[in-house]
Amino acid sequence: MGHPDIDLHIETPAFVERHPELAARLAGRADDRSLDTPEVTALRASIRQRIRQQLADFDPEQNRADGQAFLARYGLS
Amino acid sequence: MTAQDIVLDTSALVVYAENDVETFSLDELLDELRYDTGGRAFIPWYALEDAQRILRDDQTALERLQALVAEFGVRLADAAVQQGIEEVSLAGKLTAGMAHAMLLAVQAGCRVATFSAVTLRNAGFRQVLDLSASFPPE
Repeated sequence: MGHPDIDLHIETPAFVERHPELAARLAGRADDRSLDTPEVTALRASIRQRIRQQLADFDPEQNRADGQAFLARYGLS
Repeated sequence: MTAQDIVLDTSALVVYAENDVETFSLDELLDELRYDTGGRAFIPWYALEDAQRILRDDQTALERLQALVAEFGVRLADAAVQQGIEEVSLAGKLTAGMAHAMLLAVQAGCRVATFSAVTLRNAGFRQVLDLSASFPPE
C-alpha cells in the first residue's frame, strides 16, 4: 500500500487470488457482511479467535510497566 | 471478559476506511468491544489527520472514517502531549499520528490496535494488539 512509515504486511492479494468471490467486495467497497462463503466464514472465525486470545492475554500490570519503559526511552517519564 | 479500551492508530484507521479483506480483523475487534467487552476505542486526533491525508480524495473511505469518528469520538492532545508527540516523532522517526496513538495508549493504560505492529515494536512500544491478518494456509 505504500503508506509512509506504516508497515502493512498485506496478504490480501494472494488471498483474494485464491478466493475471487471476494473481488466483488473489494471492487464495490460494499459494507457487505453477508458474503458468507465457507472460506470467509472460516477466515472470520479464525480472526475472531485470534482477537479474543489477544484480549484475554492483556496484563494491565505488564502494560503499565511497558508504558513507563516507553516513556523513559524517549525521556518523557 | 472485562472492559478493555484500545487506541486505533493510523494504520487501523486507514484499513478500516478502505474496507477490504484486511478490515475483517478490525471489524471483529470492534464487535468484541461493542457487544462483548464494553471497551472503548480511542481515535487520536493526529492519527485521524494522517489517515485523512493518506486517503486523500477517496470519498467513500473518508465517509466510512467519518462514521467511525461519529461513533467513538476523537481524542485531542493537550500541550504536554503535543510536546511528547514532537519528541517521539523526532527521535523515533515516526509520524505524529503513530506517536499520538502510542502516548494516548500509555496515558489510558491500554494498547494500540494496529496493522503496523513491527513499526511500533521497532520504536520500543510493546503495548500492541496486532491486527495484521493471518490467513489460514490452504
